[in-house]
Amino acid sequence: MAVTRRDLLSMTLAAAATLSTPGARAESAFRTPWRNWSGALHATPASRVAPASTAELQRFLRAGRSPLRPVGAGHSFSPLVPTQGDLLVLDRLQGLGDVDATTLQAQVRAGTRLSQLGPLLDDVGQACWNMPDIDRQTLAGALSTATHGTGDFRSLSGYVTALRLVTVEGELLELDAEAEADVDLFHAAAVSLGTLGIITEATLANTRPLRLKSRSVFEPLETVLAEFEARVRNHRHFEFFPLPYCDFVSSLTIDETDAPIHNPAPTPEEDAAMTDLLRTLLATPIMARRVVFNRIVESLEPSEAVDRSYGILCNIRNQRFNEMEYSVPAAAGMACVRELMDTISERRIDVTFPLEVRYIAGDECWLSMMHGGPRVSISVHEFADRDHRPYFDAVEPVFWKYGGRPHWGKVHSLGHEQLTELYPRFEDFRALRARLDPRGRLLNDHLRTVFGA
Amino acid sequence: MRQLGLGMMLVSLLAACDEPAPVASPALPTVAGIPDRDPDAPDADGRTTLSLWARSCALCHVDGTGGAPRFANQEDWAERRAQGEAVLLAHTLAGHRNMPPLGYCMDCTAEDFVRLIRFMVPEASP
Repeated sequence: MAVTRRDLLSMTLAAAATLSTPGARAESAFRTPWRNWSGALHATPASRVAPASTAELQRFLRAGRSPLRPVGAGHSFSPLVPTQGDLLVLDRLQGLGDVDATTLQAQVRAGTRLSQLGPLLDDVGQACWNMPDIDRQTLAGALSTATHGTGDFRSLSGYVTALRLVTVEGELLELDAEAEADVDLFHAAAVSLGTLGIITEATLANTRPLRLKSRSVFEPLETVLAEFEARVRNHRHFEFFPLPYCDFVSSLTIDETDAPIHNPAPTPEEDAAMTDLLRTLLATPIMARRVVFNRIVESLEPSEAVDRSYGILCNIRNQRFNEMEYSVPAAAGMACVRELMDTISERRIDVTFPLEVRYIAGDECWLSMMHGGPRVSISVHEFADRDHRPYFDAVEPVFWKYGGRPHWGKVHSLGHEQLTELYPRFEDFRALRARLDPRGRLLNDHLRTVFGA
Repeated sequence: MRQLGLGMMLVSLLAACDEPAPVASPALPTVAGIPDRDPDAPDADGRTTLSLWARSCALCHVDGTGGAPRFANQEDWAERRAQGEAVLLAHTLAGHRNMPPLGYCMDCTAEDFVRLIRFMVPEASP
């Protein structure tokens, strides 16, 4: 569905006229369009529903309106959210519930932004073990897609010890990771794409607040490929950003420190510098990019920062983009990176946006990309105002070759048959989903493809 | 990527910008038919403009993250205010520059967004 900026302006002006009806709520006169963060996905939900409590959510679900989809921050690049039915927003369910200072666990409401979570936990003497690169997502959105950071840590879902889930029929389920009766449903619900019900709270196992030091440096791709495993083992966090048509990567190493906090916000010019460089390189002929890029990055100095853990682990990504990410078995990670870089070069793919390579520990969640063992996640990106499909279409088969599992919130083209082969408990999940939502109220077109429903 | 070194290099490569000239501050043309409401007055669902702002717009419009115009800042809003509410609303719905579509408010309607814009844009300076 292509909606141009001119169309939107016309719709807006039309809306302004209709909104003059006394007492009319916006959605009754004009369906406010929904778009995801990158702008690539569109929908016109029939209504937006934002319950202020679990009881309100239960009443809404029991009313039986259909279909509906929950939305977090709209940060997913795969069409998990688009619906012509009701858009269910959990932003009014924010903050901490019960906190256990002894076991270092905290109950967090589903609509809490990850950017709020760090300070909230810090106030009660706790911190997440790890956090993802971007922190604008809601907790429920992040859990539902197995969102992760980098290092020998599990995804966020891997630190959940209890979940409150409201089924589509309005029944509240309290799931405990330690309760034998709950174990299957718990491991299914902890990464469930918003298809088993609506998560309202999750209890997270945390650590004590800690201070981290990051060091960012450009270094040869071959060095990092050879040392990746050792660096993951020897540092609290390690990741790197391969640059298309460049023999260097940007690597990021993070460790604990007692050093004083020093993490100055970049100036607007610094903030825009990388984007400006990548845009400039796009205007450079592909054949010339390696020479130009190598010369620029060779001369750059390392940068360091010290901050509370959440101030180091998370970054603000102002430049909007679309993203594909697959997680391959850890042992195959560097071979996959090498073949991706070769594919970009050999096919002369017109891209300058860096890739991102991370390590994640295994977990037991049925639909976690890391189910069964550690994985290396590899992301490819393209500016939101450029067509990402030719690039993503070219590299996706490389991920398949290495047994990659797609990130649920990022662009992929897999359906039920391929996913069944990738996830040992996929059929179990399908059966559970069909039992909890037999009418498919929580499905949209994309999810029907994913689950063969 | 925290590449301040790269940032500084690029800064040095870019032409220096002149200080922006003072901009006249015309009043904000309004989207007709949407009545004003106190920012802390609840709607039928108990939501206030202030609460919507605090959990969405404030993520970027307090510090000016990504070039976002800061709350009630005359300099930041002067040129934008001149475009009028209808254009600002269209930018909000579709996304504009670094601002994502809907500005992280997934339950906001067009009417909510108009009120949020009015809340953030300062009165025209005399």
